[in-house]
Amino acid sequence: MNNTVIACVDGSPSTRPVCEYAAWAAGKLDVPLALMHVLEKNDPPAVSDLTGAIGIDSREQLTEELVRVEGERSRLLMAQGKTVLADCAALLKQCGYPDAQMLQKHGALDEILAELGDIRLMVLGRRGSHNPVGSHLESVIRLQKRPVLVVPETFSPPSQVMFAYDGSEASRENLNRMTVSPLLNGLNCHLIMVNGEAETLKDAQEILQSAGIITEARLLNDKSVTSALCRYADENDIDLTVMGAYGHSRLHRFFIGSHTAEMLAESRQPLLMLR
Amino acid sequence: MLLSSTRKDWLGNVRGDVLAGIVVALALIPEAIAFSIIAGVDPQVGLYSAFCIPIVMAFFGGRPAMISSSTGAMALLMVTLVKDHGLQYLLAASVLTGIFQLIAGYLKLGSLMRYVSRSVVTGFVNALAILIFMAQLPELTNVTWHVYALTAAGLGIIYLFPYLNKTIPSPLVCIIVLTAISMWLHLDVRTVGDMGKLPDSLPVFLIPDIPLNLDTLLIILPYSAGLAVVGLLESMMTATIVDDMTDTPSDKNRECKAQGIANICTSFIGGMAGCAMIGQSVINVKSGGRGRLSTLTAGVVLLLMVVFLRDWVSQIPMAALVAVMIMVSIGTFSWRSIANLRTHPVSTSVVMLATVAVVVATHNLAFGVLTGVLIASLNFATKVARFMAVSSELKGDTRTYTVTGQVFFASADRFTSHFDFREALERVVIDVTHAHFWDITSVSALDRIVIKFRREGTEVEIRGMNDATRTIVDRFGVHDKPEEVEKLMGGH
Repeated sequence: MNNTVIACVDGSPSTRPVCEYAAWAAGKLDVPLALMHVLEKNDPPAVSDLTGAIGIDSREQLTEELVRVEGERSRLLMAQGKTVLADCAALLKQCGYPDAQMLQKHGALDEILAELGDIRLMVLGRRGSHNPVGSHLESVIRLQKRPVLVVPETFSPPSQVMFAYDGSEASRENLNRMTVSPLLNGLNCHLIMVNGEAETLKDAQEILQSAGIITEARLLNDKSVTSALCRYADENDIDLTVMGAYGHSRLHRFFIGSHTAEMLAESRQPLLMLR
Repeated sequence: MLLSSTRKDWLGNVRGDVLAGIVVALALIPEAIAFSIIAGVDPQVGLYSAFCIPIVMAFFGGRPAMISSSTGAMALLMVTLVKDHGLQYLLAASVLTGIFQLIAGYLKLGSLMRYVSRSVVTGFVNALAILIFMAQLPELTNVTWHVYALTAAGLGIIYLFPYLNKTIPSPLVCIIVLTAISMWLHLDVRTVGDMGKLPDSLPVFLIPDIPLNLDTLLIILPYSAGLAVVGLLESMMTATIVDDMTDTPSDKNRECKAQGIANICTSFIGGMAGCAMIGQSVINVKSGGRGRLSTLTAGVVLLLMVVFLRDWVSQIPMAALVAVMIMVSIGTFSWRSIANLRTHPVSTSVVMLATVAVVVATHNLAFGVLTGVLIASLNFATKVARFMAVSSELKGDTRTYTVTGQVFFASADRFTSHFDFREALERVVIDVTHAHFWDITSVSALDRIVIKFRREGTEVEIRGMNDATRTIVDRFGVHDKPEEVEKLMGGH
């Protein structure tokens, strides 16, 4: 799976934009594209019997029943997933990717993606089946060492990119990574910093400019980092935001909150999360 | 690592976990009381550990949805300690048990379970069921007919009530109905209240009241070692069973550490050491429990019920508990293994039966497992020893012996017997290209053969030692080191 863009599809409304964004990224990066469908076991248990009584061979009977019921369920889901993958492959063919690889796996999405190793970029839909922000997203992003592109429900080819910069070591590292990536070639880059120092921002702008990226730097002041970024994005027709993700531990997130989580909830543009 | 868990572990199946946790808590009460009585302590001791262990395990455990609590296997090992030295020594022994288990977890001894074969596990489970059943017998001997009637009625309710209603746990119905009957009719039967003290408050932190010296350590050490081994064995086996049922993996070494932490915690609030329970874990999975929340719910609900319903709990007739425990023992026993006796190879059946027999005789599951593992290993050695053959061919004055297969302690004698030393020969070639020498026994057997041939005046050549064989022979062999040969032949 080396150097591949992975599009994670599940048949939900965001499946189509996921494919389109993945095709866009694979085109820009000039790397192969793979479609991934994961069969997760997160439904309520197939057998639930509250009688609390166990009798002769209860253990074996329970195992056999679970195997039968879950097997049936998995067979249906597998067939359904195959259809989703085939539809996506057809869509990619229209976008000019006739030979996308199709993968189907059992297990948890976050673990499977983490095990794939050296992939170039993974593309996921933001909307979950129950919540406006998919419940897997945080654990998926936290487990990765690779960039994750989280996309909304409509596709528009990115032309204006916003880079959310906070002056930290990780943020500077990300900036350097962007300068060598062909993903943003030819795009207009807005370097945005909220509540920081003008000088740091200027240094950062120089890094980008010396790499030949057209930039516009802006320092914003606002109580809320997230709302400042989102407002700027709306006002300037930004169609891709690049940011570092989950720089802090889960504990920190629990007590203080996380910009990443807020951005996932509030931003309407696709987010490229760098780890 | 020890506390890591995902959101899915906790909240992946909230409804199923909470309901299953409640069902398990209801079934844990009779077991905790029954096992305290086996160990010879107040029901309070078993009940404290029955809520403390699941709560600790919910956070630390390596196998979500597995239920741990005070168990019969552990209680049986405590009997003499409690009788001779009292409760405080039991609490101290529980702490030490926890420490041993914690160390075992860090040494990754959980992986030793690979030496425990399937037949040993089956034997263990069956032996456990028999022990649980036998532990009920004192409640059923020298009693009035009322007790038999109540027990039979209880079993009837447990197994027939589910045909009427599948949403109310039938063991609970059994306990409520039998308690109501015995209170209403003022039956003169033993109740839980007669068996000792029940908890009247939330437990408090306490340090076992024992002299901290070497004598104490020597008293508790053998008990703690046994408890640690039995606890880990039952926990690892239960974890495997839950893995199979739920089709999810578990972290066995983390489970070892967690068992240790749980036992240390429980002894500091006055509870006895425990381990995973096969019967309860099956009930939990059957009721739809899959996540850590099920274990936590079981512990918390049990605590609330025991502390707030104490007066009612003390009125439960022992016959109702006996009925529930008989159900647990029937559910734990692997009935299929009896049918399998006819179809499985005799050697594996012997392993299973030997495990059961030793446990029932000694009341110590560790001895049973040890016996089972030993017999299984010997069986295996015997089988592998059959993969050895020696053929020979005479050409002029030279005989060539060709050895193929595995030569080790179990096949060494047979290996030697294939060589004919009476034959008067100029030269013998032993071709071991397709043989493997595993240990010192096999190497010295080859040595003796070479030396014996040389003594008869025969020239010996060993041909085609493969590399693995050569390293063993090089390290242990003597036949091409003259001074070693002298030593070996010194007595002749």
